[in-house]
Order: sequence, then C-alpha cells, then structure tokens
Amino acid sequence: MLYLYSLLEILYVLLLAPLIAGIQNSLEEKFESKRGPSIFQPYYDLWKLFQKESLVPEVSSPLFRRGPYFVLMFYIFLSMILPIITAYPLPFAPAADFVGGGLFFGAAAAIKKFSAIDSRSNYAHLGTSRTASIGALSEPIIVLIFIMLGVLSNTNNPFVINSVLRSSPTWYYSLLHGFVTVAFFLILIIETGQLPVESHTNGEFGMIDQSMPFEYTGRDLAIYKWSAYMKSFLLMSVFLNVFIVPFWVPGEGSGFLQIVLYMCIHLVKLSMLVLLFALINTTVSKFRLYKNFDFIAAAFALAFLASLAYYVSS
Amino acid sequence: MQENIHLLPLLCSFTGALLCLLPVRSFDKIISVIASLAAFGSVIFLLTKENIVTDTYYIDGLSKLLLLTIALLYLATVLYSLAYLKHILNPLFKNKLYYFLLNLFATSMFFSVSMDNIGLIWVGIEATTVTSALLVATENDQVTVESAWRYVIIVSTGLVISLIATTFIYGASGTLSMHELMLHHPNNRVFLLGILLGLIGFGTKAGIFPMHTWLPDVHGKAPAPVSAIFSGVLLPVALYAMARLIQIHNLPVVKIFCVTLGILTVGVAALMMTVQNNYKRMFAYSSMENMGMVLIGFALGKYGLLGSVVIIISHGLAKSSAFYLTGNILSVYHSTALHDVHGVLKKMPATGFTIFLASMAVTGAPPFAVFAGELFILKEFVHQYNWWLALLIICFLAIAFIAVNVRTGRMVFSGNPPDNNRVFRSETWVPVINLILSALVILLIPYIEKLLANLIGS
Amino acid sequence: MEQIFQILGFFLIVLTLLMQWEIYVNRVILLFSISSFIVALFLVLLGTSKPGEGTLLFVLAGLTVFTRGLIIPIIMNRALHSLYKKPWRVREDKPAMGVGGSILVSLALILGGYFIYQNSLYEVLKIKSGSVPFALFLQASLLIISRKNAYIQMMGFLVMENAVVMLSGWVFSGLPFIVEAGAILDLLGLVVVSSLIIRVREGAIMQEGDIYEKELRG
Repeated sequence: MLYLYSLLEILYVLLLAPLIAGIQNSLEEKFESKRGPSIFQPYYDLWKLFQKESLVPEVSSPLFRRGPYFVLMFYIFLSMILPIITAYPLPFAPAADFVGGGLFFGAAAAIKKFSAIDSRSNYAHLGTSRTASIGALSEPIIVLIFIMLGVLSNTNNPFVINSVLRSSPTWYYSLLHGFVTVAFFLILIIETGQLPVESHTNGEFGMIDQSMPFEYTGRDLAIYKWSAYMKSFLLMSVFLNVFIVPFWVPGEGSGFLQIVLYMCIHLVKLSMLVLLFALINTTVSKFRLYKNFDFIAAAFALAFLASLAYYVSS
Repeated sequence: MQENIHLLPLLCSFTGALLCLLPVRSFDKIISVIASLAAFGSVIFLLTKENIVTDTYYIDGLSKLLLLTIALLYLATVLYSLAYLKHILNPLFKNKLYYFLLNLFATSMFFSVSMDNIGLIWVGIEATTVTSALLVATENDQVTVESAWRYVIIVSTGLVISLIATTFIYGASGTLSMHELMLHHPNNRVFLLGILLGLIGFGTKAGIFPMHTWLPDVHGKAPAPVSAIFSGVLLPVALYAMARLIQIHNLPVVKIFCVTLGILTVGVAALMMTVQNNYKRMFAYSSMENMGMVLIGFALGKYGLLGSVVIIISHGLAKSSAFYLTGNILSVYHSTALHDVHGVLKKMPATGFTIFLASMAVTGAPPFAVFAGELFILKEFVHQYNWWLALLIICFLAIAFIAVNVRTGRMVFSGNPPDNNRVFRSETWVPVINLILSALVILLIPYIEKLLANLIGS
Repeated sequence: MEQIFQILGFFLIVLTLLMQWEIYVNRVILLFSISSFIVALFLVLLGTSKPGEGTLLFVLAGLTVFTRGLIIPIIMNRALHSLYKKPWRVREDKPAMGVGGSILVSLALILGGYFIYQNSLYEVLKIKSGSVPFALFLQASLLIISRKNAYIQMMGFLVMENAVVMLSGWVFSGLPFIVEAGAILDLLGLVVVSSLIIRVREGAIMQEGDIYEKELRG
C-alpha cells in the first residue's frame, strides 16, 4: 500500500509541476492587466515539443542528448525522498536525508551544466559560467540551512523536522526558525529563477539559467523544461512543508482519501506561494549581474545569524 | 549659598556665553573679557576655601589647581583672541559665534572638573568635544575642516568606549559617585575592565599613544588661540578624569598599564618630533610628550602626582605662550613650514626671544617648573621601578629637547627675514606674561604641595 | 523578557547589516531612525518589566524617540538638502570594501564579539545574550572605518551610542537618568555641530576632489 503512495507521489509531482508554472505565468500577466495565457499552457508547450524532432550539434558528445534524462531521473528520485504529500517517510524516503537531498539538487545542476557546455555554443557557455559562480556560493548556504534545521530536531530527517515544527510553538516562533526561513526564501528566489535575480525575458545581459538550454530542441527540450518545472515544484514544496506551513500534512495511518484531500490542499498552498512570487516579479526590478553576489552574501549572513541566535538562546 | 559658591566660575562663563549672542556691536568681546575676569576672580576666591565633597560636587586640591589653570588660560585666550581674529583671512563663521563657543568651551571644562558623578564628568568631556569642534574649523580651508572632522570622529569613538566603561562601573558597584567609590569598591573583573576601558576612552581625548592621531592634525591647522587652549587645558582635563579613575582603583595592573602607555606616548612623540617640518605640529608633539609624562606621574602617585600637577600648570602657561607666538609668526610669514621662517629675532624681536624661551620651557629647561615636575616624576619612578627605564625616559626627553630647540633656534636666530611690510601689531604682551607666570610657578610649589596633601599622603 | 531582548537585539543586528548593504545616504539615515525606534521600544518594555523605577525609563524612551528617532534624522536630511542639488542621489562613490565583503567582515566581527564575550564576561555576568550589544558596537565601528562619506561615519557613531544604550539597559541595570539625558543632549549638540563641519567638508570634496593630505602626515 505504501509503495502505491510512493508511486502516487511521483505521479503527483510529474503531472502537476507544469500546472504551477502555468499558474505563475498567468498571474503575472493578469497583474499587468493583460489577458495572459491559460494556466494549462505549459502542457500544450510540452505536447508540441514532444512532436518535434531533436537537432543535435555535430560537435557534441552523447552526454548532450542524455543529460536531460539524467536530470529528470534525479528529480524523480528527489520527489520520493522529500515530504510532499505525507508527513511520515514513505518506503524510499530513507534513501537520502535532508543534506543528501540538497546535494542531489547540486548533482542535477552539475549534470545540466556539463551537458550545456557540451554543446559548444557561446550562450550555453555564458549561462553555465554564470550559473556555476552563483551556484558555487548558494549551494553551501543550502547545506548550512539544512544543517541548522537539523539542530531543531537533533536529526537530519525532514519528516521529523516537520513534526517538531508542527507541534512545538517555541521552536516555530524561535529566532533560529525565523532566520532560516528568510534565508531559504532568498535562496528559493535564486534557485527557481525569480526576480530580482533572473527575469524571463530574452535579453542576454542578465540571463543566468535561461541561456543554458539554448541548443536543445524537440523531445530533449521538453524533458529539460519538465525537469525545470519539477525543480521549482520540489523546492517550493520543501519550503512550504518543512519551513513555513508544516500543517495539515497527513500523518501515519491516514487513509487514501486524506492523502488525496491533502494533495488538493497542497496545490492551494503552492498557489499562495506562487501568488507571492508573481507579486514580487511584477514589483521589483532585476539586479545588475554582480549584485547577485551581494544578495547571496545577505542570504549567507541570515543563515549564519541563525546559528548565532541558536547559541545565544540555548 | 555657601555650598554653591563653587558653581561661580561655571556660571560666569555660561552667562558670558549666552550674552555674547546679543546683537550689540563688539558686545561679545567686552562680555567675554568680563566673564573670564570674573571666572578668574572666583577661582582665586575658591582656592582659599576648603575642599568640598558632596553628592554633586567633588572639589579637592587637584580640582582647584585645574580650575586655576582653566581660568588663567581662558583669560589669556580671550585677551589674545581680541587681536588675533582680525588676521584670520577666511573665517567660517562670525566672530560672535567664536566667542560664544569659546565661553561654552570654558563652561564645559569648569563643569568637568567639579563634578562628583563619573557619568557627569563624561557628559562634560563630551560637551567639550561638541563646543571645540567648530573652533578648530574656524579657518575655512579644506585641510582644516578635514582635521576637525577627524578630531570629532576619533574622540567621539573614544568617548563611547568611556561610556561603556561607565556602564561597567555602574553595573559592578551600583554607584557612580566618586567619593563613595574611593571608600569602597568591588574588586571583580567587570570593575577592573571598566576602569581600564575608561582609561583608554579618556586617553583618546588626552592624546595618549595609540589614539593620538588626531592631535597633531588639529594643532597644526587650528588657529593659534584654539591650539593654545587645547594644549593648555583640554588635554589636562581629560588626564584629570584618568587620574580620578586611577585614584579609585589603585591596583598594580592599572599602574603598569598607565605607565606603559605613558612611556610609549613619550617615546613616540619624541621620535616624531625629529622629522617635523611644520612648527605647529612640532609643538603639538611636544604637548603629547608632556601629557605622557603627566600620565606617568598620575599613575605613580605620591610625588609623581605633585610633579604631574606642576607640569600641568607650568606647561599650560608656557605652551599657550608658544602657540600664541606661532600665531604671530603665521600672520607675518604666512606659512607653517619651518623652512619658510627665518630671522624672527630681527623682524619681531619680542616674539622671537619669547618663543625661544617658551620652547626651552616646554621641553624642560631648568629655570621653568616643567623641569621640576619632570624631576619629581623621575625620582618617584626610580623609587618605584628601576633605573634603566628611567634612563630610557630621560633619553626620549633629551631627544625631544634637542629636536624642538634646534628647530626653534634655527627659526629665531638664523637667516634673514623676508622683505615684506607685514608687521604684527600689539598683543605680544599676553604670551610674555604667560611665560613669566610659567617661570613663577616654581615658587608656588610648596603651596601646591599643601593643597594636594590628601592625595600625596606623605 | 530575555526572548524579547534577543529578538530586538537580532533585529538591530540585521538592520545594521542592511546599513552595510546600503550606499545611499538617505537610506542609511532611514535605517538609523528605525533602529532608534527599536531601542525606544526596548526601553519601554524594560520599563514595564521593572514595576518600581519604570517612569524614568518611559521618559527616557520618549526622549530617545524624539531626539534620536526624529530630530537627528531631520537635521541630517536638512544638511543633505542644503548641500546637494539632488540629495536622494548622494552616495558613497567608491566604497573601500564592496557590499559583499563588508557583510562578510561584519559577520566575522559579530562572531568575534560573541567569542570575546563568552570567554571574558560571561562567567561574571551570566547573561548569554549579552554579546549582542558588543556585536552592534563592532559592526558600527566597521561602518566608520570602511566608509569615506562623513554622513555615514556619523551614522556609525550614532549606532554605537544606540548599542551602549542597549548594553546598559539589558546587561547591567542601566545608567542613571541624568547621565543618559546628558548623553542625549550631547549627541544632539554633536550632530548639529557636525552637520556644519560635514557640509563644509563634503562641499570642498565636491569642488576640489579628495583631500590632499600632505599636510596631515608625519
């Protein structure tokens, strides 16, 4: 039965990730008084891309074609170990703990970069070097955040952290939790590519993540985009379920209907977060490129202050 | 009425300050002269009364002698400023504001040395920073304003450290009143840390070694009467606060800390004096060296303290005379560089002769009392520590003596003055009188010793 | 009460870190004003927790809001308006350390302050969160050292004074009222005097470039 829930979790992430991206795009356009695309537009795009053929540069190696599939594999694996629809670990969850999950995100990003460089295109090199510089600084902060969260519960297990934050108001309202939440929100902006770090226009002055898949076409591009939607979905789910609103997640021994009900509640939670992102995206302007490093320094400062707050108050 | 007699100097200068602002022509000069004379008179009267130790005021022999120095130099500076201000070519603000600030400056110094509460002493010293900052920037010149700004920031930061120290003292002992602290104080680490931090903080204001960087800049660029009153009384008032802190908590650790800082100050000042090209900065480093000696004397106690007070009074008078005369020289030669000034004796005989005697006085030549003060301090030093450190101090003093006097001698005696028709009229009598008074201090040493009897404890 | 102090103290640390991030002068003044309000709030809460001598603390909090929160920023804004034609564009042109670097150095100073406090004063005072005011003091001194614009240096000094108020209020039992009131009066005088000096200094820098320092060496 639990294996069924695991499969359900994978299908949930796979099938609903483009919906969340579609909701965000549509909301951003509606805030600007335009009609905007329908919320199912990413599905139509993916369907169209699957019909097209893949063109591959002559100078590339086999890694170029296979890269996106590896990335998709990583994200499917991650959707099994993170707390998305249940508050207790499903059968494959002990495969990696929280820090391991963070490192898997890093591994997926590394494969993306390798396959992008492999295309020998200028834009891909541009995007890869920028992503690598920012990633080299932001990924240790993710690990620091996850370790500081581990201090809350004396374990490294996101499910235990979820239950601790749900049940004890002292930890929920503590300074440690506040600092770590704000730091992870800033990292979320960097990792999912929102403003003020990255905008979704095609000007190459500031393209960081967007210029990596420039050489992909057809089915490979579809898999690439799908895995990008899944990355956003997973990171946002982690933010909601472990950091800010760890409530209403069904615990041990809950029935199938409760889990389905929670899947709908989770969509509502994600929609609220996506609304917040849409508000930010239509309000702030994009940083100039080197200011992103100051932004990362601020996120690091907050994560570091979390550790100091823990020592001062313990 | 009898208890508040010691507020009189303060009230004289404060009312003088307020009345300066009235828009009557030349009223500010007349009022300043009257206020400083009244303050001087009341200080003389106060010297004859006995010590007052209450919850608000703490005036013993040390305070009285400092009040006397402040009043003397206040009077001298006001009298000298009457003529010097015409020679400032591009003032930043009106003369009225200058006299107002000068009177307020004197008020805050009178306030600082009479209070019993350490926190109020801090407030007074911070008020001296506030009132003197604009006085430094009287000339509207880029470098002058930069030096004024450096003064404000460095000294204010040091005084914040002092405020933290006051917090420590208050937290550790529950009271900030000096006479209670001298009777019984706790002996824990927080209190000791408070005393040491307070010494560092007030030492910033007094120009002690690592925090002295504002001193030569300010003295080099401020107008002559302001430099004189800085060297003459502002530095000693900060050292007064340090002396009270040492008096409260007289542990060997505190003594060694102060003596080390004093020796370093004297050393650094002596070495910097040998490479100077600017005569005002040279005299500034000489002030710093003397303040280092004063700090050593306060740390040693007993006859060292007597030597320190003697140095404070006579150095104040002699150094102010030297700075007034540099004002004369600057107004005629229009340059502060040593190599631009030649033949002062031929052009302005009284100035030349007096400045040579004044520079001998401040570096410790025999008939002046600075020499006697240094002798007292060195004797006490040898008595409490050892010979070779005293020999080191004597070496530094000798280096300073040679450096300052060779340069001043070259300025005064050698070479020919330039052929311009600028002559500085009048107002040389103030420095001359100050110098004569500085020579007479040596006759007053027995009286000073009697006043300080409770502190020396012989 | 301990938790409230920690929350307010860390909020002040974050505000001072934001001051390291900002290079526009009017933003730094705004952040200073907000941090003064936080200090006043802290004093009010401290006053409510001590039933006996609370009224003096309330008066002090009111004075803090009035002078540090309102009057001093107004004076500095006026000084900016009187000197520059476009006061909202005044900034630190060439910062010595860059924003990211100064944030990291601030963090190192906070950590250093924590360690120094733990190893020296903690055994005597037994208050664990006493390292927060020291961290604020060190961060403010970094503001003074690393910036060349005199307005921001003045703000650094005023943040130091705020840190001393927090220190005396929380770790010890506070300074006597007359000393605190005297300190506030002194600060007011210092800001008035300094705004004149800074105006002349920055005006001279605008016209003649950076200070030629040959006369200030040696």
